[in-house]
Amino acid sequence: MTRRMLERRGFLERMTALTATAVLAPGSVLARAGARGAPAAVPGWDLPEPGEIQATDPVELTVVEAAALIRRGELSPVDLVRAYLDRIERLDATYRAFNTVTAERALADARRLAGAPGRLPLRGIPLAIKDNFFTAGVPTTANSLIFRDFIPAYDATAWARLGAAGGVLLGKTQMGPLATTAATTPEGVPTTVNAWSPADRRAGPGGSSSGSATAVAGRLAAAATGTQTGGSITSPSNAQGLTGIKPTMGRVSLHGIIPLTYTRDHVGPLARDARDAAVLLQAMAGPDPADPRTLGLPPVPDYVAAVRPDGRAARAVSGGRLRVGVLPGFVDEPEREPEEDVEADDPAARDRTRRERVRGRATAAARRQLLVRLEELGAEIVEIAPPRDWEILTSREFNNVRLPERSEIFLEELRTDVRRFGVSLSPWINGLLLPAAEFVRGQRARLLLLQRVLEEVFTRCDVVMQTEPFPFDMIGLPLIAFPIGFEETSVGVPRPIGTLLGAPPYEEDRLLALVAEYQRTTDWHARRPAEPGTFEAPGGVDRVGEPGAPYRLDVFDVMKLGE
Amino acid sequence: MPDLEPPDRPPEQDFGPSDEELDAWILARLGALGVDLSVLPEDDEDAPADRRSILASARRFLRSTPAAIADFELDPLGPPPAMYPSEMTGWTDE
Repeated sequence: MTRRMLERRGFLERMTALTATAVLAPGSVLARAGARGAPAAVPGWDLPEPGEIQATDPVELTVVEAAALIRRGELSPVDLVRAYLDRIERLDATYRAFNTVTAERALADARRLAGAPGRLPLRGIPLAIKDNFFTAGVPTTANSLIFRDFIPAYDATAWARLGAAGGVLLGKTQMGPLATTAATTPEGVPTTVNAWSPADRRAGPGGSSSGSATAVAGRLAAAATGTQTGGSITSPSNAQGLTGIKPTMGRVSLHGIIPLTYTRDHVGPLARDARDAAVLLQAMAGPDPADPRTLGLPPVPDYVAAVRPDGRAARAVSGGRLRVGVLPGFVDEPEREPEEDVEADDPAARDRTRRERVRGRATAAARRQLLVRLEELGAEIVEIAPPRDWEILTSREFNNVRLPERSEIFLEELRTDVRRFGVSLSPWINGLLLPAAEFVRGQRARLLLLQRVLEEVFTRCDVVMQTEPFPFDMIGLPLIAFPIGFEETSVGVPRPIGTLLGAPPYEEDRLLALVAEYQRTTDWHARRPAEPGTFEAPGGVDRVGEPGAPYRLDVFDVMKLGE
Repeated sequence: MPDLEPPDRPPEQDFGPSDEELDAWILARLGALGVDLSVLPEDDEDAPADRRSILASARRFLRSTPAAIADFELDPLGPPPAMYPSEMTGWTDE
């Protein structure tokens, strides 16, 4: 019996006897708490060899490729960082990926790292860090009026570990306000664009890690960090053709990251491929005494080994020992709406409906091709039924159980001036209104949902395709997002199509291994958007958007969109 | 005068509280916590948030979420509350 099966069976047996709850209480949201995380140890692992490197432009190199060239002395960290800074200077006015660019510090760090002794896996690698991560001496705003003038005194543990591994801070990325929705102004006007279609506001960047995704996709950073409470790593990754991983709850420390929901916030990388995602996760993961959520968990596996082509994890895929579960409807095309159901007098609604239908068909086709390719790689595709009560336990109403946590975190700010929340206010107000009995029932429902996922899904498959991030976000299970195709849009710009794959607790290595195998035989992840300004909308129009007034989120949009 | 449906009130919940009753409850609850919505404009489409839209969102929330959760029956001897359910699977190691 494998160790993984022992963990799962033991857990289920314990749940029948368990009567107590464990509530972990991290420290204060603001720097006045003064707590610092564990000093980041210099990691003792090496990156995989990249194989043949075809890119000639430094910004086209993946993390693994750039690190290899730097290690061999064929690329200078200073030249690499300078290439990214030049690109940021030229293009970020269009992409709007960054809140703060730390150009001088980045170059200084690159010079220091160029001559630094020792093995540093990420020596000189330019990284973009989401603006809810504390970065000592660098403004950290979470795109919120509340943190407008905040400069933390210490680094978030996750960023400190990337820095200790040799990573260079290029800057802090734009994000949805307080890690909700996508990047907007406090009034709800979208800012960061999708790197694939900067002139088309209808194709959003995804959120809330919008700037992180745009920076990586737009070649303004080699890789980036994000956080996820309700899709905020995986959604922008899928929107922009990236590989993003949200690990198991507690796998990466949340110390020094402005919280949104203590029990659902996760930290992870947004990268160009599974190898890069594995490398960043390896650097960040592990116990941190400053975050009790990371303590007492199974050891961090070797993610880098998991993505090696000759590794044991890869052989498990090709040897037919990996079962990929597929829920009903995963490859179905959207049902065609009767014409009379679409408002005849609303051209914008008709256009939106038509575009959603086109995208739905393209997504269904890409998913079918994905399953065929996974079978060719040796995986077994298993159709599985959703667990009992899946629809209600993963409904919007049960998802709303997360809201009181954010209201508690920001209670002082709500009592001071609600206007500081801008357009994002409604979820914070609604979180103050959920009665305690329903909140407790919601926490019981989370455990029930996890029990059923383990008993009814992961006894029949090893990993499972997902169409939405919320269920696995609710119960803290790992998810990986990766590109599986493109939609050729009506305006002639390719739009990435991605998917989600979930796994049991602490099995991020299995997710990374499967996606790495898939990416060895496909090239969706290797494609990159056209440079801004090379796209011309039909009719020579400079910007494509909804007819009428400029689009702006309202309070109802904020309640519907995730984090 | 036509008998108009009150705004934001699902027809199947005629027995439930009215908009005015819910607004009173919401404002009382917020007031007890010291959260003041009166700093927001009353009704301004151009403002990031106004009282009208915040209260409408809150009414919609209260008419949907608490009842949906309460309607899902759980055996009292069933699963306890777990704020970190996935982490509990890692506690099996002796």
